[in-house]
Amino acid sequence: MRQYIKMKKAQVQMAETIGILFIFLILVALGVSFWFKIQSSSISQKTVELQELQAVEVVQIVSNLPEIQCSRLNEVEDNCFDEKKMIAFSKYLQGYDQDFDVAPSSDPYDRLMEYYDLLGLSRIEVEIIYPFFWDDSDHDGLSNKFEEVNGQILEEIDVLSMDFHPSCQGGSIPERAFNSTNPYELDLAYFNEDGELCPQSNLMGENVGLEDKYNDTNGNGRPGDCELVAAPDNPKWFCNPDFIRPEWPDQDDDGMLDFWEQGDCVGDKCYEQIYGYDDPDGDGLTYWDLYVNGRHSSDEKDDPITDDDLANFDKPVIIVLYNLTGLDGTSSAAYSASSTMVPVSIKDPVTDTYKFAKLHITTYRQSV
Amino acid sequence: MRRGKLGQTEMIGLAVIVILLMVGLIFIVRFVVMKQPTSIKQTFTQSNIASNFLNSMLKMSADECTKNVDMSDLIANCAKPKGNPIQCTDLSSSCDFVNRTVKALLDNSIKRAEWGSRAYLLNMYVHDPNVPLHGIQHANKMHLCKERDSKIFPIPLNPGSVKVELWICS
Repeated sequence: MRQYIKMKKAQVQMAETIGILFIFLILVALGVSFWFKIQSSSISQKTVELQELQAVEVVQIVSNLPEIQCSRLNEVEDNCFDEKKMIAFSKYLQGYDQDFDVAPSSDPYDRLMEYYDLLGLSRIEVEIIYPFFWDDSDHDGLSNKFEEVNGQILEEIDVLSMDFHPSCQGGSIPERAFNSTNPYELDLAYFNEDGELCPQSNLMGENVGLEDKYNDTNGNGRPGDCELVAAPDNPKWFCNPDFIRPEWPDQDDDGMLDFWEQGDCVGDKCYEQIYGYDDPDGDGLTYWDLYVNGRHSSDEKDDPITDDDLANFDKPVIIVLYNLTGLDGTSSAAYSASSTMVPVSIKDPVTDTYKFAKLHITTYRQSV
Repeated sequence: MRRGKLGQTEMIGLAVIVILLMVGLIFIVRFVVMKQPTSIKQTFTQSNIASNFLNSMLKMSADECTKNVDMSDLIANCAKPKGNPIQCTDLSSSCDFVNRTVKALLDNSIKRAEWGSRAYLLNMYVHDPNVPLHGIQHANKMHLCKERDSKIFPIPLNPGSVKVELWICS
């Protein structure tokens, strides 16, 4: 009997030990999986950091590249590229020799590989912004040609006013905004957390936003269509652009086209999309033709810009300095990319004048 | 009686271990999992864009204006006209030209970048930042800004100076 009790006790203890071991193993397994999760997230974070570091490194290297840097009396000028050197460098990397009119004699890939150690896998280009690449006498971002075709001159006064939202609630974040009637006076505009401009903003009835001189036959600065409606009838806009162009598909009257409000485009994201709009229809116009005109080539509505006009539009001056996006025919799709933009000066050494440009650098890294 | 006391002591030991484990877990979650990622590129570009923008803009030659002037000359002329006024091809004054051109430069560089629009505030003033020179002040979504960096370039006048200040937000 005594022996039996002892055996039972031993069995109980065995079961207890097994239970403890089992719980211990579960805890270890949970800990290990937790640890691996943390490690994998920190590895991917490290990868992003490395890629960003590489992008910054390339920006620094390009900014100080003696091949394109400009100088005055043998002294290097900061943040400045020599236009002639830049063109020569670009042509050299395209395989050209001294005479650019003669077809390239070398393999561009070999030339690019000479700079691989310095610049790695990247695309480096310079886009000249001023002098404006197209003839834009009123500096409104639209070329004169576009305005001739459309028969209208549009002037953006303050883009903030476009954020006005009649149903905006809250609005506790004040920001100074222009009073276009008196440019020396500043008004307060109130925003809510969604970035919508609220009605308490002291901008009611002012001619903020787009001053449209469309069909302004009597030259009083107000479009012909607007003169048909007295201003008080429309508290939102002194002259409502929706009224001027009733073909605008904007059912909720928030200044956003219905087209843009489909899908993920909600609130501030819409503006991101519009301001980030980079001419997908290739007609040489940026967000203006979508936002201001409410259309682009693929829309069903009539586009006043014909294909013949498109062919004649000026394109921005872009000089591609270096373009190596894959090794041994590997496509850049196998790599992750990081993009950076830095404003730079471009010096014309002949006339000793400076242009304003932006340096785009996209670096590529093989995905982990 | 003794057995019960032993059980209580073991329970306390277990509770201490559980508390220690929880404290450890909280530390891990706080410092490893919830660690804010530091963006090298963001910090670099933020300060670099502001200084490079102002540097390039002030150096830029204004081809459309009568004399062989750059933007810093035009800004100085706008703040304190002396001698013959500078006039540009579209018959605008130096102030109008500066205002429009600065806006176009901002629109085409900082505002319209690959990653989307970046918040900024460009201000020109002589004494008080709240009184911009001829109303030359351009802002984009600064109300959404949390971290900002600014650069300021003074342009000498005689006497005083006009300050060109650019705030950039990540």
